[in-house]
Amino acid sequence: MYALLWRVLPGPWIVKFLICLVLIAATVYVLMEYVFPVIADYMPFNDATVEEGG
Amino acid sequence: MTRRERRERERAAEAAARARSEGAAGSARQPPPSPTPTSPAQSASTPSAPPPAQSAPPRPTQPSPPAQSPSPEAAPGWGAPQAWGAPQQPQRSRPVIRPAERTTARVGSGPSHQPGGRQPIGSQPTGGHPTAAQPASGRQTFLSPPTDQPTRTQPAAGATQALPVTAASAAASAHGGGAKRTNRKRQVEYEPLGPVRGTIRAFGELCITAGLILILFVVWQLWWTDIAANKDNEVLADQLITEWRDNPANELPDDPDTPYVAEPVDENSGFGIMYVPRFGEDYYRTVAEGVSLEPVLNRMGVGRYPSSAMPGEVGNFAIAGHRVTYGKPLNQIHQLRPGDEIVVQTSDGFYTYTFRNFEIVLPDATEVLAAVPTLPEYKGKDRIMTLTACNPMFSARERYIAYAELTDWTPAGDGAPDSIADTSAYDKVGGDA
Repeated sequence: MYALLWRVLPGPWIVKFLICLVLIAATVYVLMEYVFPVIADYMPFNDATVEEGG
Repeated sequence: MTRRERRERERAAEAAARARSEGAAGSARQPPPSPTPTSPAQSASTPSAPPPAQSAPPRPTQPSPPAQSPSPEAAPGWGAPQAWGAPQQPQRSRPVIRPAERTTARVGSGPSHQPGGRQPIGSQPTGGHPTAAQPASGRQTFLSPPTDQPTRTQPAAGATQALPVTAASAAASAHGGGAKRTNRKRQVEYEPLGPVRGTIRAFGELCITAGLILILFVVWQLWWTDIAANKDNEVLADQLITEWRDNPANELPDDPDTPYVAEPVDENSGFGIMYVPRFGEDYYRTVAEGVSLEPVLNRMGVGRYPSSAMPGEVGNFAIAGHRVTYGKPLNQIHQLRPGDEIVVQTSDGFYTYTFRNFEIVLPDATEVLAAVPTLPEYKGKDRIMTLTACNPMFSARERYIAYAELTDWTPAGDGAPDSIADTSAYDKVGGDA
Protein backbone atom coordinates (compact mmCIF):
# COMPACT_ATOMS: atom_id res chain seq x y z
CA MET A 1 0.00 0.00 0.00
CA TYR A 2 2.53 2.56 1.12
CA ALA A 3 5.20 1.03 -1.08
CA LEU A 4 2.86 1.44 -4.02
CA LEU A 5 2.17 5.04 -3.06
CA TRP A 6 5.88 5.74 -2.82
CA ARG A 7 6.43 4.18 -6.23
CA VAL A 8 3.59 6.12 -7.83
CA LEU A 9 4.78 9.50 -6.57
CA PRO A 10 6.97 11.29 -9.09
CA GLY A 11 10.34 12.85 -8.69
CA PRO A 12 13.37 12.15 -6.54
CA TRP A 13 13.04 11.06 -2.98
CA ILE A 14 12.95 14.56 -1.53
CA VAL A 15 10.02 15.51 -3.73
CA LYS A 16 8.28 12.29 -2.79
CA PHE A 17 8.95 13.03 0.84
CA LEU A 18 7.46 16.51 0.59
CA ILE A 19 4.42 15.22 -1.27
CA CYS A 20 4.00 12.62 1.44
CA LEU A 21 4.10 15.30 4.12
CA VAL A 22 1.48 17.31 2.28
CA LEU A 23 -0.69 14.21 1.91
CA ILE A 24 -0.38 13.40 5.59
CA ALA A 25 -1.24 16.95 6.54
CA ALA A 26 -4.25 16.95 4.25
CA THR A 27 -5.42 13.62 5.67
CA VAL A 28 -5.08 14.83 9.23
CA TYR A 29 -6.91 18.04 8.41
CA VAL A 30 -9.81 16.25 6.74
CA LEU A 31 -10.06 13.79 9.61
CA MET A 32 -10.03 16.45 12.30
CA GLU A 33 -12.29 18.93 10.57
CA TYR A 34 -14.90 16.70 9.01
CA VAL A 35 -14.63 13.07 10.04
CA PHE A 36 -14.01 13.16 13.76
CA PRO A 37 -16.81 15.62 14.62
CA VAL A 38 -19.27 13.27 12.94
CA ILE A 39 -17.88 10.22 14.69
CA ALA A 40 -17.69 11.96 18.06
CA ASP A 41 -21.45 12.28 18.27
CA TYR A 42 -21.67 8.52 18.50
CA MET A 43 -19.06 8.20 21.20
CA PRO A 44 -20.54 7.10 24.50
CA PHE A 45 -18.62 9.58 26.58
CA ASN A 46 -19.87 12.57 24.61
CA ASP A 47 -23.29 11.31 23.99
CA ALA A 48 -25.18 12.64 26.92
CA THR A 49 -23.88 15.41 29.02
CA VAL A 50 -27.45 16.44 28.62
CA GLU A 51 -30.28 14.43 29.90
CA GLU A 52 -33.56 15.13 28.36
CA GLY A 53 -35.40 11.91 28.90
CA GLY A 54 -32.24 10.20 27.82
CA MET B 1 47.75 -9.48 4.32
CA THR B 2 45.67 -11.57 1.97
CA ARG B 3 48.39 -14.11 1.54
CA ARG B 4 48.70 -14.54 5.22
CA GLU B 5 45.00 -15.07 5.53
CA ARG B 6 44.98 -17.62 2.83
CA ARG B 7 47.86 -19.43 4.34
CA GLU B 8 46.15 -19.65 7.64
CA ARG B 9 43.01 -20.81 6.06
CA GLU B 10 44.80 -23.48 4.10
CA ARG B 11 46.58 -24.66 7.16
CA ALA B 12 43.31 -25.05 8.97
CA ALA B 13 41.84 -26.83 6.00
CA GLU B 14 44.69 -29.24 5.86
CA ALA B 15 44.41 -30.07 9.48
CA ALA B 16 40.69 -30.63 9.18
CA ALA B 17 41.05 -32.79 6.09
CA ARG B 18 43.80 -34.80 7.65
CA ALA B 19 41.85 -35.51 10.77
CA ARG B 20 38.85 -36.48 8.72
CA SER B 21 40.62 -38.77 6.35
CA GLU B 22 42.33 -40.51 9.19
CA GLY B 23 39.07 -40.95 10.97
CA ALA B 24 37.43 -42.17 7.80
CA ALA B 25 40.22 -44.58 7.10
CA GLY B 26 40.01 -45.93 10.57
CA SER B 27 36.30 -46.34 10.38
CA ALA B 28 36.57 -47.94 6.95
CA ARG B 29 39.02 -50.48 8.23
CA GLN B 30 37.06 -51.39 11.24
CA PRO B 31 34.10 -53.11 9.59
CA PRO B 32 35.70 -56.38 8.48
CA PRO B 33 32.45 -58.15 7.44
CA SER B 34 32.65 -56.43 4.04
CA PRO B 35 33.33 -58.81 1.10
CA THR B 36 36.96 -57.72 0.68
CA PRO B 37 38.18 -57.00 4.15
CA THR B 38 41.77 -56.54 3.10
CA SER B 39 41.19 -53.73 0.59
CA PRO B 40 38.50 -51.40 1.84
CA ALA B 41 40.69 -48.40 1.20
CA GLN B 42 41.31 -49.42 -2.39
CA SER B 43 37.65 -49.97 -3.11
CA ALA B 44 36.89 -46.62 -1.61
CA SER B 45 39.59 -44.86 -3.56
CA THR B 46 39.14 -46.44 -6.93
CA PRO B 47 38.26 -43.20 -8.73
CA SER B 48 41.53 -41.62 -7.71
CA ALA B 49 44.94 -43.07 -8.40
CA PRO B 50 46.61 -42.84 -4.97
CA PRO B 51 45.03 -44.90 -2.23
CA PRO B 52 44.81 -43.05 1.06
CA ALA B 53 47.05 -45.50 2.76
CA GLN B 54 49.91 -44.44 0.52
CA SER B 55 49.24 -40.76 0.64
CA ALA B 56 48.97 -40.79 4.36
CA PRO B 57 52.66 -41.35 5.28
CA PRO B 58 54.11 -38.29 3.55
CA ARG B 59 51.52 -36.09 5.14
CA PRO B 60 53.23 -35.24 8.41
CA THR B 61 56.38 -34.11 6.65
CA GLN B 62 54.85 -32.37 3.69
CA PRO B 63 52.41 -29.80 4.97
CA SER B 64 55.06 -27.40 6.20
CA PRO B 65 56.61 -26.52 2.81
CA PRO B 66 53.39 -25.33 1.18
CA ALA B 67 52.73 -23.10 4.11
CA GLN B 68 56.13 -21.48 3.71
CA SER B 69 56.22 -21.44 -0.05
CA PRO B 70 55.13 -18.23 -1.75
CA SER B 71 52.56 -20.10 -3.82
CA PRO B 72 49.59 -21.04 -1.70
CA GLU B 73 48.16 -23.03 -4.57
CA ALA B 74 50.29 -25.94 -3.65
CA ALA B 75 48.32 -26.41 -0.49
CA PRO B 76 45.09 -27.67 -1.98
CA GLY B 77 47.14 -30.04 -4.05
CA TRP B 78 48.13 -31.66 -0.81
CA GLY B 79 44.96 -31.22 1.06
CA ALA B 80 42.57 -32.36 -1.59
CA PRO B 81 43.86 -35.83 -2.38
CA GLN B 82 43.86 -36.61 1.27
CA ALA B 83 40.28 -35.62 1.55
CA TRP B 84 39.63 -37.58 -1.59
CA GLY B 85 40.30 -40.75 0.30
CA ALA B 86 36.92 -40.35 1.99
CA PRO B 87 34.62 -39.27 -0.78
CA GLN B 88 31.55 -38.75 1.39
CA GLN B 89 32.87 -36.35 3.97
CA PRO B 90 34.85 -33.66 2.16
CA GLN B 91 31.63 -31.94 1.17
CA ARG B 92 31.32 -30.47 4.63
CA SER B 93 34.81 -29.12 4.84
CA ARG B 94 34.82 -27.85 1.30
CA PRO B 95 33.68 -24.34 2.10
CA VAL B 96 36.93 -23.88 3.93
CA ILE B 97 39.10 -25.21 1.16
CA ARG B 98 37.13 -23.89 -1.74
CA PRO B 99 38.58 -20.41 -2.20
CA ALA B 100 42.02 -21.73 -2.99
CA GLU B 101 40.81 -24.73 -4.92
CA ARG B 102 38.56 -22.70 -7.10
CA THR B 103 41.36 -20.62 -8.47
CA THR B 104 43.35 -23.70 -9.35
CA ALA B 105 40.39 -25.38 -10.90
CA ARG B 106 39.60 -22.33 -12.94
CA VAL B 107 43.12 -22.02 -14.14
CA GLY B 108 43.14 -25.67 -15.01
CA SER B 109 39.85 -25.43 -16.87
CA GLY B 110 41.20 -22.57 -18.93
CA PRO B 111 40.94 -18.80 -18.94
CA SER B 112 37.85 -18.90 -21.15
CA HIS B 113 35.67 -18.52 -18.06
CA GLN B 114 37.20 -15.23 -17.11
CA PRO B 115 35.88 -12.41 -19.20
CA GLY B 116 38.63 -9.93 -18.54
CA GLY B 117 41.43 -12.41 -18.80
CA ARG B 118 42.87 -10.72 -15.76
CA GLN B 119 43.54 -12.89 -12.80
CA PRO B 120 44.33 -10.59 -9.92
CA ILE B 121 44.80 -13.31 -7.39
CA GLY B 122 45.17 -16.44 -9.40
CA SER B 123 47.91 -14.95 -11.49
CA GLN B 124 50.26 -14.51 -8.59
CA PRO B 125 51.03 -18.11 -7.80
CA THR B 126 51.21 -19.37 -11.36
CA GLY B 127 54.38 -21.22 -10.50
CA GLY B 128 52.43 -23.74 -8.55
CA HIS B 129 49.70 -24.36 -11.06
CA PRO B 130 51.00 -27.06 -13.34
CA THR B 131 52.20 -29.24 -10.57
CA ALA B 132 49.15 -28.70 -8.50
CA ALA B 133 46.68 -29.16 -11.28
CA GLN B 134 48.08 -32.36 -12.75
CA PRO B 135 47.90 -34.66 -9.79
CA ALA B 136 44.44 -33.36 -9.19
CA SER B 137 43.23 -34.18 -12.67
CA GLY B 138 40.74 -36.62 -11.29
CA ARG B 139 39.71 -34.13 -8.69
CA GLN B 140 38.84 -31.46 -11.17
CA THR B 141 35.94 -33.38 -12.55
CA PHE B 142 34.63 -33.57 -9.06
CA LEU B 143 35.28 -29.95 -8.27
CA SER B 144 34.08 -28.42 -11.45
CA PRO B 145 30.36 -28.30 -10.59
CA PRO B 146 30.73 -26.26 -7.43
CA THR B 147 33.35 -23.99 -8.95
CA ASP B 148 31.50 -23.25 -12.13
CA GLN B 149 28.26 -22.33 -10.47
CA PRO B 150 29.46 -19.17 -8.79
CA THR B 151 31.12 -18.00 -12.00
CA ARG B 152 27.82 -18.47 -13.75
CA THR B 153 25.88 -16.43 -11.27
CA GLN B 154 28.37 -13.64 -11.05
CA PRO B 155 29.24 -12.68 -14.59
CA ALA B 156 26.94 -9.66 -14.44
CA ALA B 157 29.18 -7.98 -11.96
CA GLY B 158 32.30 -9.55 -13.38
CA ALA B 159 31.62 -8.14 -16.80
CA THR B 160 31.82 -4.61 -15.53
CA GLN B 161 34.70 -5.23 -13.19
CA ALA B 162 36.95 -8.11 -13.88
CA LEU B 163 37.82 -8.38 -10.23
CA PRO B 164 34.70 -9.94 -8.76
CA VAL B 165 35.08 -13.02 -10.94
CA THR B 166 37.28 -14.37 -8.23
CA ALA B 167 35.05 -12.93 -5.59
CA ALA B 168 34.98 -16.24 -3.84
CA SER B 169 38.65 -15.91 -3.10
CA ALA B 170 39.61 -14.27 0.12
CA ALA B 171 40.75 -11.09 -1.59
CA ALA B 172 37.48 -10.29 -3.33
CA SER B 173 37.36 -6.54 -3.83
CA ALA B 174 35.12 -4.76 -1.38
CA HIS B 175 33.67 -2.19 -3.73
CA GLY B 176 32.70 -4.86 -6.23
CA GLY B 177 30.67 -6.54 -3.53
CA GLY B 178 29.06 -3.25 -2.54
CA ALA B 179 27.89 -2.52 -6.05
CA LYS B 180 26.43 -5.96 -6.27
CA ARG B 181 24.51 -5.46 -3.07
CA THR B 182 22.91 -2.21 -4.15
CA ASN B 183 21.88 -3.75 -7.42
CA ARG B 184 20.26 -6.59 -5.62
CA LYS B 185 18.46 -4.26 -3.25
CA ARG B 186 17.04 -2.25 -6.04
CA GLN B 187 15.79 -5.37 -7.73
CA VAL B 188 14.13 -6.59 -4.57
CA GLU B 189 12.40 -3.26 -4.08
CA TYR B 190 10.58 -3.54 -7.36
CA GLU B 191 9.93 -7.20 -7.05
CA PRO B 192 6.16 -7.70 -6.83
CA LEU B 193 4.96 -9.64 -3.86
CA GLY B 194 2.89 -12.72 -4.25
CA PRO B 195 -0.84 -12.56 -3.62
CA VAL B 196 -0.52 -14.00 -0.14
CA ARG B 197 2.36 -11.85 1.02
CA GLY B 198 0.90 -8.82 -0.67
CA THR B 199 -2.42 -9.32 1.06
CA ILE B 200 -0.76 -9.82 4.41
CA ARG B 201 1.33 -6.72 3.96
CA ALA B 202 -1.64 -4.63 2.87
CA PHE B 203 -3.64 -5.92 5.82
CA GLY B 204 -0.83 -5.07 8.19
CA GLU B 205 -0.50 -1.59 6.76
CA LEU B 206 -4.22 -1.07 7.08
CA CYS B 207 -4.08 -2.15 10.71
CA ILE B 208 -1.23 0.25 11.41
CA THR B 209 -3.12 3.02 9.66
CA ALA B 210 -6.25 2.30 11.64
CA GLY B 211 -4.24 2.40 14.85
CA LEU B 212 -2.72 5.73 13.94
CA ILE B 213 -6.15 7.13 13.09
CA LEU B 214 -7.48 5.96 16.44
CA ILE B 215 -4.60 7.65 18.22
CA LEU B 216 -5.26 10.77 16.21
CA PHE B 217 -8.91 10.62 17.18
CA VAL B 218 -8.04 10.43 20.85
CA VAL B 219 -5.65 13.34 20.47
CA TRP B 220 -8.31 15.29 18.66
CA GLN B 221 -10.98 14.46 21.22
CA LEU B 222 -8.98 15.14 24.33
CA TRP B 223 -6.79 17.96 23.20
CA TRP B 224 -7.89 19.60 20.02
CA THR B 225 -11.58 19.97 20.89
CA ASP B 226 -10.59 22.00 23.93
CA ILE B 227 -8.50 24.33 21.85
CA ALA B 228 -11.14 24.72 19.17
CA ALA B 229 -13.97 25.18 21.66
CA ASN B 230 -12.07 27.74 23.69
CA LYS B 231 -11.34 29.69 20.56
CA ASP B 232 -14.97 29.56 19.48
CA ASN B 233 -15.98 30.56 22.96
CA GLU B 234 -13.72 33.57 22.90
CA VAL B 235 -15.06 34.70 19.54
CA LEU B 236 -18.65 34.29 20.66
CA ALA B 237 -18.06 36.18 23.89
CA ASP B 238 -16.50 39.08 22.02
CA GLN B 239 -19.43 39.05 19.67
CA LEU B 240 -21.94 39.16 22.53
CA ILE B 241 -20.12 41.98 24.28
CA THR B 242 -20.09 43.97 21.09
CA GLU B 243 -23.80 43.41 20.59
CA TRP B 244 -24.62 44.44 24.13
CA ARG B 245 -22.67 47.62 23.81
CA ASP B 246 -24.88 48.67 20.95
CA ASN B 247 -28.07 47.79 22.78
CA PRO B 248 -30.32 50.58 23.95
CA ALA B 249 -30.52 51.11 27.66
CA ASN B 250 -32.63 48.54 29.43
CA GLU B 251 -36.13 49.26 30.43
CA LEU B 252 -35.77 48.09 33.95
CA PRO B 253 -38.72 46.87 35.95
CA ASP B 254 -40.15 49.12 38.54
CA ASP B 255 -39.12 46.98 41.46
CA PRO B 256 -35.34 46.92 41.58
CA ASP B 257 -35.42 43.67 43.55
CA THR B 258 -37.22 41.92 40.76
CA PRO B 259 -34.71 40.94 38.13
CA TYR B 260 -35.35 41.70 34.54
CA VAL B 261 -36.26 38.61 32.51
CA ALA B 262 -35.39 38.59 28.85
CA GLU B 263 -37.21 36.78 26.11
CA PRO B 264 -35.56 33.57 24.93
CA VAL B 265 -33.34 34.00 21.93
CA ASP B 266 -33.25 31.76 18.88
CA GLU B 267 -31.87 28.32 19.35
CA ASN B 268 -28.17 27.84 18.74
CA SER B 269 -27.34 31.44 19.43
CA GLY B 270 -25.58 32.79 22.44
CA PHE B 271 -27.26 35.09 24.94
CA GLY B 272 -25.06 35.17 28.01
CA ILE B 273 -21.69 34.72 29.63
CA MET B 274 -21.21 32.68 32.77
CA TYR B 275 -18.48 33.39 35.32
CA VAL B 276 -17.65 30.99 38.11
CA PRO B 277 -14.80 32.25 40.28
CA ARG B 278 -14.50 28.81 41.87
CA PHE B 279 -13.58 27.37 38.49
CA GLY B 280 -10.75 29.82 38.15
CA GLU B 281 -9.96 33.49 37.98
CA ASP B 282 -10.09 33.48 34.24
CA TYR B 283 -13.04 31.18 33.85
CA TYR B 284 -15.91 32.25 31.65
CA ARG B 285 -18.13 30.42 29.22
CA THR B 286 -20.79 31.63 26.90
CA VAL B 287 -24.36 30.47 27.41
CA ALA B 288 -26.35 29.57 24.35
CA GLU B 289 -29.84 28.44 23.66
CA GLY B 290 -30.38 24.72 23.18
CA VAL B 291 -28.64 21.59 24.35
CA SER B 292 -27.77 19.94 21.07
CA LEU B 293 -24.19 18.78 20.83
CA GLU B 294 -23.65 20.60 17.59
CA PRO B 295 -23.23 23.44 17.66
CA VAL B 296 -24.18 24.51 21.16
CA LEU B 297 -22.43 22.21 23.58
CA ASN B 298 -19.48 21.46 21.35
CA ARG B 299 -18.73 25.03 20.38
CA MET B 300 -20.73 27.54 22.40
CA GLY B 301 -19.93 26.72 25.99
CA VAL B 302 -22.98 25.71 28.00
CA GLY B 303 -26.51 25.41 26.69
CA ARG B 304 -29.84 26.28 28.20
CA TYR B 305 -32.58 23.69 28.22
CA PRO B 306 -35.24 25.40 26.09
CA SER B 307 -37.98 24.06 28.34
CA SER B 308 -36.46 25.71 31.40
CA ALA B 309 -36.68 29.27 32.68
CA MET B 310 -34.59 32.21 31.56
CA PRO B 311 -32.04 33.76 33.90
CA GLY B 312 -33.77 35.61 36.68
CA GLU B 313 -37.13 34.04 35.94
CA VAL B 314 -39.11 32.27 38.61
CA GLY B 315 -38.55 28.58 37.99
CA ASN B 316 -35.48 26.65 37.02
CA PHE B 317 -32.85 28.08 34.76
CA ALA B 318 -31.14 24.87 33.68
CA ILE B 319 -28.00 24.57 31.66
CA ALA B 320 -25.90 21.66 30.45
CA GLY B 321 -22.26 21.47 29.59
CA HIS B 322 -19.46 19.10 28.81
CA ARG B 323 -17.43 18.00 31.75
CA VAL B 324 -14.58 16.74 29.58
CA THR B 325 -13.49 17.74 26.09
CA TYR B 326 -14.87 20.59 24.00
CA GLY B 327 -13.51 23.20 26.34
CA LYS B 328 -14.89 21.28 29.35
CA PRO B 329 -16.99 24.14 30.71
CA LEU B 330 -18.21 22.16 33.71
CA ASN B 331 -15.05 20.19 34.29
CA GLN B 332 -14.75 21.31 37.91
CA ILE B 333 -18.41 21.20 38.78
CA HIS B 334 -17.56 18.91 41.67
CA GLN B 335 -15.40 21.67 43.17
CA LEU B 336 -18.37 23.89 43.91
CA ARG B 337 -18.94 24.55 47.60
CA PRO B 338 -22.11 25.91 49.14
CA GLY B 339 -21.97 29.68 48.89
CA ASP B 340 -19.95 29.78 45.70
CA GLU B 341 -21.30 32.31 43.26
CA ILE B 342 -22.21 31.69 39.67
CA VAL B 343 -22.69 34.91 37.75
CA VAL B 344 -24.55 34.94 34.47
CA GLN B 345 -24.17 38.11 32.44
CA THR B 346 -26.70 38.96 29.79
CA SER B 347 -27.46 42.10 27.88
CA ASP B 348 -29.70 43.14 30.76
CA GLY B 349 -27.45 42.65 33.71
CA PHE B 350 -25.72 40.26 36.03
CA TYR B 351 -27.61 37.42 37.69
CA THR B 352 -25.79 36.06 40.69
CA TYR B 353 -26.73 32.56 41.72
CA THR B 354 -25.34 30.96 44.85
CA PHE B 355 -24.53 27.28 44.87
CA ARG B 356 -26.54 25.28 47.36
CA ASN B 357 -26.13 21.56 46.85
CA PHE B 358 -25.51 18.85 44.33
CA GLU B 359 -26.75 15.38 43.61
CA ILE B 360 -25.84 12.56 41.30
CA VAL B 361 -28.67 11.05 39.31
CA LEU B 362 -29.25 8.71 36.43
CA PRO B 363 -29.35 10.14 32.93
CA ASP B 364 -33.11 9.90 32.68
CA ALA B 365 -33.82 11.93 35.84
CA THR B 366 -35.43 14.85 34.05
CA GLU B 367 -37.16 15.91 37.26
CA VAL B 368 -34.01 17.80 38.19
CA LEU B 369 -35.05 20.35 35.59
CA ALA B 370 -38.40 20.99 37.22
CA ALA B 371 -39.22 24.36 38.75
CA VAL B 372 -38.86 22.69 42.08
CA PRO B 373 -36.12 20.22 41.31
CA THR B 374 -37.03 16.56 41.76
CA LEU B 375 -40.65 17.57 42.46
CA PRO B 376 -42.14 18.22 39.03
CA GLU B 377 -45.69 18.48 40.32
CA TYR B 378 -44.96 21.72 42.20
CA LYS B 379 -44.89 25.09 40.57
CA GLY B 380 -42.39 26.78 42.82
CA LYS B 381 -41.66 30.42 43.51
CA ASP B 382 -37.87 30.43 43.69
CA ARG B 383 -35.42 31.38 41.03
CA ILE B 384 -33.31 28.26 40.70
CA MET B 385 -30.38 27.50 38.51
CA THR B 386 -29.43 23.92 37.66
CA LEU B 387 -26.20 22.80 36.03
CA THR B 388 -25.99 19.32 34.59
CA ALA B 389 -22.90 17.45 33.49
CA CYS B 390 -21.95 13.85 33.01
CA ASN B 391 -20.73 12.34 36.18
CA PRO B 392 -17.92 9.96 36.05
CA MET B 393 -15.65 11.88 33.78
CA PHE B 394 -15.42 10.31 30.33
CA SER B 395 -18.64 8.46 30.96
CA ALA B 396 -22.32 9.04 30.44
CA ARG B 397 -23.46 6.67 33.13
CA GLU B 398 -24.69 9.29 35.58
CA ARG B 399 -25.32 13.01 35.79
CA TYR B 400 -23.82 15.45 38.21
CA ILE B 401 -26.42 18.04 39.15
CA ALA B 402 -25.56 21.30 40.84
CA TYR B 403 -28.31 23.54 42.24
CA ALA B 404 -28.00 27.24 42.85
CA GLU B 405 -30.40 29.95 43.85
CA LEU B 406 -30.61 33.54 42.66
CA THR B 407 -29.26 35.76 45.41
CA ASP B 408 -28.45 38.97 43.62
CA TRP B 409 -29.19 40.88 40.49
CA THR B 410 -27.42 43.88 39.02
CA PRO B 411 -28.64 45.87 36.05
CA ALA B 412 -26.12 46.18 33.27
CA GLY B 413 -25.73 49.89 33.84
CA ASP B 414 -24.62 49.34 37.44
CA GLY B 415 -21.61 47.29 36.51
CA ALA B 416 -20.49 43.87 37.55
CA PRO B 417 -21.00 42.53 41.07
CA ASP B 418 -18.01 42.49 43.34
CA SER B 419 -17.58 38.75 43.06
CA ILE B 420 -16.43 38.98 39.47
CA ALA B 421 -15.54 42.62 38.98
CA ASP B 422 -11.87 42.09 39.67
CA THR B 423 -11.41 38.75 38.02
CA SER B 424 -9.23 38.46 34.98
CA ALA B 425 -12.07 36.75 33.16
CA TYR B 426 -14.31 39.76 33.48
CA ASP B 427 -11.49 42.11 32.60
CA LYS B 428 -10.84 40.12 29.50
CA VAL B 429 -14.37 39.58 28.30
CA GLY B 430 -17.03 41.73 29.79
CA GLY B 431 -15.07 44.56 31.30
CA ASP B 432 -15.83 47.00 28.55
CA ALA B 433 -19.46 46.10 28.27
